[in-house]
Amino acid sequence: MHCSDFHRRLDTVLDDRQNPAADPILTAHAASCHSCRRYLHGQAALLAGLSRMQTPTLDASFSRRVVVLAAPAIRPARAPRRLRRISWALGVALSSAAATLLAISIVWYAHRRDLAVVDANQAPPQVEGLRSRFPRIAWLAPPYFGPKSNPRPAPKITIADVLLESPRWPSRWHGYRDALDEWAIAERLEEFEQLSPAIRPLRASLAVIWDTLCRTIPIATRNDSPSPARDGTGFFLHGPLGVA
Amino acid sequence: MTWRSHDDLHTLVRHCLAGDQAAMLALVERFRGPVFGLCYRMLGQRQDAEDAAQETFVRVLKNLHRWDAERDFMPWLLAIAGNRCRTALASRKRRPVAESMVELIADDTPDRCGADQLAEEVHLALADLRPEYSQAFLLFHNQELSYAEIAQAMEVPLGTIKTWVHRARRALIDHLSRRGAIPEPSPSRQNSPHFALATSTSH
Repeated sequence: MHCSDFHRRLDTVLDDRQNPAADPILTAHAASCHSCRRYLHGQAALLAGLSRMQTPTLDASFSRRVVVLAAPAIRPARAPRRLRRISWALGVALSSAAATLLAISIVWYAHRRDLAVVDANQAPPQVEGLRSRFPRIAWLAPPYFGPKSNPRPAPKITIADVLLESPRWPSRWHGYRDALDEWAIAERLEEFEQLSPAIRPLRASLAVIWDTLCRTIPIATRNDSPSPARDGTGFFLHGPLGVA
Repeated sequence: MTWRSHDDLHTLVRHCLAGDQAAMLALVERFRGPVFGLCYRMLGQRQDAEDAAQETFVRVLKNLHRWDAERDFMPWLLAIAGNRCRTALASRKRRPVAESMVELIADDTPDRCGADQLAEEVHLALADLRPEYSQAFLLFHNQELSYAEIAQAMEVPLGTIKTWVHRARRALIDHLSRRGAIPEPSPSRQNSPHFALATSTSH
């Protein structure tokens, strides 16, 4: 056995946590080779010294000191990456579903709900009928309750029409007045007024203010459009979506 | 909540992550021995070792959420301790004057006999090693981690760890031999009480 083989075998024995003194091949070579015998003796002394090395004891306050230093900086653990991905995907799916539902409901509502414009100066027949029977609560009653003796006039504009027209709005919004006129087409105010006649004075006041503003601020006159019709509120109703 | 030494480590870690200071205290209490032992053997000074152990535990507690629960805790912990010690050794080298215990001991001639003297010589020899060699050697022989665990903890290939441990062994034996800490063996001395003691206490 060569000395290099001895060293290699000694390393292997020590790597396996075995006792080299119990290996007959190593001891046989060490008996005949002075340097290897010295090396074998040295490794035994090394491991003996290592096991005898004493470690001083830490004081009792060590652990508490560490916790005091570390505790304020500890952040709560983040969820695992897989969980984060799942929650993110769930959020995207729910948001998409909500957006789809919203779009469907808008389209459905646009096809279902007709807008009817009625004369604001005329009392709705449903409310009149209810007022005679339930004078104290009639003003709360929505117009779709009660007997439908007088059918409402045929709708001229629907929300679907408004939605279909909406892409062309910017081209027709030459000025704030025209734009507001377009919005007035919806005529939600009329329906509210049917429900609550008390807003009529407020509406009249607003109409006066609006008329004043319209007369004060000069705008360009359009030659291609006829002069708009004016309803009782002072709002102008004209253009493709205009109603009588 | 009172934690005992045999409580499940994963439960302990979970409570630490939730901010339970009693659990943190229990965790430090459980592992402070091995960590301080490694730091003391690598640094050779009590105060430096205590500082390194403290830094190690602070770092471990702060980064506990990064520990992979499917792996052993001890190699991860000791790797952090070893890295802290290597950083401390590097900064010690940059100091202009470093009066270390190792130097004070080195002035003594090893004329005394006995196990304490041998332990001191080993201590001195460890201080002379390259930090990565002493870390790998101590993790293998002192903390009894496997080569695979050391390689995983130090993020070095397994073959490199083996080479480092082998080189550390030879360097330490050479150092002990140069210092005269190893008595001159004779063929008949293999059966001497000193040799028998050395081999029996090594395992």
